[in-house]
Amino acid sequence: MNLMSTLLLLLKKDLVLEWRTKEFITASLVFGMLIVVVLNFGIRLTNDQWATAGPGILWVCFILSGIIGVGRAFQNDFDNDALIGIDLLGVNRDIIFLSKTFSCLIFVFTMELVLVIPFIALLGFNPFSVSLLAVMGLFSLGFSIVSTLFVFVANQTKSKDVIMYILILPVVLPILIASVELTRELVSGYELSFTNHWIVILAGFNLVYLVICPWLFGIILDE
Amino acid sequence: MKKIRNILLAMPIVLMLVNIYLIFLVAPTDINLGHIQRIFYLHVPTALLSFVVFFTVAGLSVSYLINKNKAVDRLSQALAEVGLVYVTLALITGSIWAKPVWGVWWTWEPRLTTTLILWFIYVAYVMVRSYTADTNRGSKFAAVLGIVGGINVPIVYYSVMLRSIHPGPVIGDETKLPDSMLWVLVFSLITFGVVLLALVKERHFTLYADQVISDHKLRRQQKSII
Repeated sequence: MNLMSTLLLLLKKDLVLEWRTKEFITASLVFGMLIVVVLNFGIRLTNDQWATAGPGILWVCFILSGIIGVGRAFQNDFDNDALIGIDLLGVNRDIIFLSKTFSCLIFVFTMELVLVIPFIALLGFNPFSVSLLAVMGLFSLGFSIVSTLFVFVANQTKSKDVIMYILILPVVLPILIASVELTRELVSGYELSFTNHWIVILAGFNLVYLVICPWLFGIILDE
Repeated sequence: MKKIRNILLAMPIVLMLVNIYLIFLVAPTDINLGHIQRIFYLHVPTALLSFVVFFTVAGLSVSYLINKNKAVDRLSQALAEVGLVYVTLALITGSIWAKPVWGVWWTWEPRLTTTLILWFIYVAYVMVRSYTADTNRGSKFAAVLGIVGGINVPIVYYSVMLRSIHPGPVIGDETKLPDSMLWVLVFSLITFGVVLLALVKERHFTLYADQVISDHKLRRQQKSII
């Protein structure tokens, strides 16, 4: 079995598991919706103010819901020692990491797409555009790479839920800033270009962590 | 041996006393900022050294993950813990300086934001170790965080810098220090460096002693089982 088919098989396993349990989507969407409801009572912004503050609120909602979802999504792998089982089969550890990252990417991206709807319907803030999909894709990839590594670390500590946030949030800060600024530009009517320095930050971040994280994951899987 | 250790412990105390004397009685008072400028001699060395320590921890973390050398891990832990104290001091002194000079306790300027993120990564580094039951596992996780943090800090700085270019001018106008202030700053930097080394040395020693005791306990338990 070559590496690509192993990767696809592991990815299929995660997708089927999510389809059956719906743990990621349920946890993250319910949490995201609750944030939207709480925001409605917590802040009162005019249309002009939404254009400035809206992108930040949107991405904070995405990131917090994402962390909740990622924590739930990997629970099965730890509860049943499935990850160790796959490792004992002799599967390349980079492939294990990439399969978890890509499944996480699909879940996070889907969650973001769905969570835009309550922002439009309930809060009257519509950031949606085709360019925003590209920003969401780049952010989701970076977020998935970092959270796959740190959820694995956090799961083996005593206060998993607290540690997960403390580990992931400071590290994903650059892509959060880039995504917020890009969304702000898009909402203000600017066109997205590949030479935009925020796109460079998003792409650069993903590239750097896509190289370093599989190596680190392979080392800590020994434990 | 004990005499040498006592001298090494006394040196930072003497240097710090001289440093305080230089800062408050020798260094000239700034014409524009007044006495508040003197906190600069505490703030700059702690901030600078906390960044140096942080990148050293990142380098040592790579070395530990490759060679699994326990001494390197102990040194990383000692450096990170003392680094956390230094970065906390840098943030506090920075805020005290910012209030009368900028009119606010805090501003989301690149250097300040990066230092705050550095503080969070240091806290996470120390927490990961203490929240992991298995010491070896904790060391590996901390090393992973040390490396990721080392890569992340420059990216955070760059992205916050880009962000702060848009709304307005960057706070912190760079002006050349006169020699009478510069040499006090250099002396303060050396003093804080020596204090850091002394603290790291002491912490490293207690970590080593801790390991020797736990190894001894383990051996005794193994003997009693046999």
